[in-house]
Amino acid sequence: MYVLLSLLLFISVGSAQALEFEETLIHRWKSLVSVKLNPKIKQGSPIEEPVGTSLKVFEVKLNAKNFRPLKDCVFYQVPSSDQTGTLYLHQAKMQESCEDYLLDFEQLKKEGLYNFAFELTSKKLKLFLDSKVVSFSLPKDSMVLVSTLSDESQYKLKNQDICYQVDDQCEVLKKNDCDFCPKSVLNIIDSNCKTDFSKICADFGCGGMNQPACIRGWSATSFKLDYCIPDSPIGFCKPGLRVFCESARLICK
Amino acid sequence: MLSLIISKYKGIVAGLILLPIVFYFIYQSLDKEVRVKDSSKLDPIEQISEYWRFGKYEKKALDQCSDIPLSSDFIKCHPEPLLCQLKYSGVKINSYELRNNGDLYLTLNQTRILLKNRCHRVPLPENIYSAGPRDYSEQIWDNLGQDIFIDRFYVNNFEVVRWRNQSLKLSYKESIKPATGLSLEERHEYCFAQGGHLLQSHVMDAASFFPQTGPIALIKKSIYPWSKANKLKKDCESFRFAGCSQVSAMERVGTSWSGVFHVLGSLPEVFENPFMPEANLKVSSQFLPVENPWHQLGLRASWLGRSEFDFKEKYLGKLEQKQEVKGVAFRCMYY
Repeated sequence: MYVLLSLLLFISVGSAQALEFEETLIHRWKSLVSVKLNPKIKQGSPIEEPVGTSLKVFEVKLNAKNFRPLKDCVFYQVPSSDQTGTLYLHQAKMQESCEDYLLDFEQLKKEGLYNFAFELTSKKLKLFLDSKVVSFSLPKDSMVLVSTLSDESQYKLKNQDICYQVDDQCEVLKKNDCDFCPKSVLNIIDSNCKTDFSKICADFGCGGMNQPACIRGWSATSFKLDYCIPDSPIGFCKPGLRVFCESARLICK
Repeated sequence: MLSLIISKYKGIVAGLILLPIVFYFIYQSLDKEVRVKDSSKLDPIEQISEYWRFGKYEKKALDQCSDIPLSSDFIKCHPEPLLCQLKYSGVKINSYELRNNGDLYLTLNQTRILLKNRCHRVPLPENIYSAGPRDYSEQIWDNLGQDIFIDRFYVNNFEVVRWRNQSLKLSYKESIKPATGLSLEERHEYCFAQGGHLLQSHVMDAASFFPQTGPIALIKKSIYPWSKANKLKKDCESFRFAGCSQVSAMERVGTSWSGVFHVLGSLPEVFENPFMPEANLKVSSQFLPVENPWHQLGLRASWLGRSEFDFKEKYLGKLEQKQEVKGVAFRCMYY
């Protein structure tokens, strides 16, 4: 009898812990923006290898209270013969590497797992936690943002700040933070990338004196040389002004 | 003693032991289903998002609460009907904040939702475009690699009141009138505050000329927005000219292929024109008779913006007669 009662108590306590993990995650990931998978991990089947080691499974981009992006790094310690699996996550700043938190078990975690798998579609992220399935909706568009986190850090940009930047190879040097500009945003020409343009915060237009050159474009001009030359055809200015390249940026003077 | 009791009431004892286990498994299976529902299908946030974007409210929810017709585009991305609907549905909002760019922040329970005011913008497809009138080919440009969004409608009175943080309560009819009372400088300021810029003339042309293929320097441009054919549609449903009823900002007339409205007729409209700054005004409007030759795409006059009657002279068009312009509208574009 005592054994049975203990068993029931154990089951109910374990269930309460599981609830806490899942409930927290369901609330927290209402603000889910996107998911970046670890390409080395196959989705849809339980993670069983390498036995006993910790892996980064994926990163989840979220909105903090002020809609500043944050990420949750999601790790899994694969079960071994003497230890069950543990799913754990750690909140990090966007520029931080998740790998720095690989051995940090302190934040939200779920222990006692035998089978853990996940599945990502265009609409949903599903976690398979032994016999349970927990699913999270991915946002349909960028018009509605949700935040459930209590981070209060202030993040503001000012006019003239670069809020998005690409290099000559179209690699993103600075992720798009233009939603944090005080007013408007302007595309500028500061690289040879033909498929993307850097952006600055601006409460001014293009083409005027000391303003960024307006963009005529690469295809319209069929220009093949380096953009950063006087009178570069990639940009244009209002009548009476010329295009100059200063600090690697096309401006009008 | 204990074994005696157990043997006597073994059915009851077995039931007492098994019952919690059975309940546990029933709870587990129900719990699993509830959880999946909670995090997806029945999420009130998704419902709010749908209301905001598509404006499909319950008619009863708006009775005595909002005078915006369900059929109006104005109902989308508008806080008033949304708050009416949430109250009607019994959804308790802790707080809400309407920003002067039209973004709405809602707090319910521990969740904060930002509903962006982006229902009335259309993207300009990436392409090579030619600006200016039909026979003009010196303003070739492209937007490849650039996301450009354009307001589908004119800026209206409600939006200007919201921008100025005025607590003025406008009726639906007043709200949807095009905003024509701002100076040129104020129009620039308004668009900056919305996160955009005053619509550029060449971008308006790109969104207006019916797309046609051909070599870059010889991009053909249509005279009218609805097809390549040079045939004017002389009815008030197609575009608003003299004799038609007064136009509202959010009316679907003067329609272009890109989803931008009022590209012909309706009101004169001012633009920013970095190619030719003086050529900043579309003259085609409801003030001109249907036969007036200003009713063509790409034609621009010059407007200094100091007063509503400050129309100076024609520009770019090959037309000789001067026209007096009243009530100049505007709209914004966004990168």
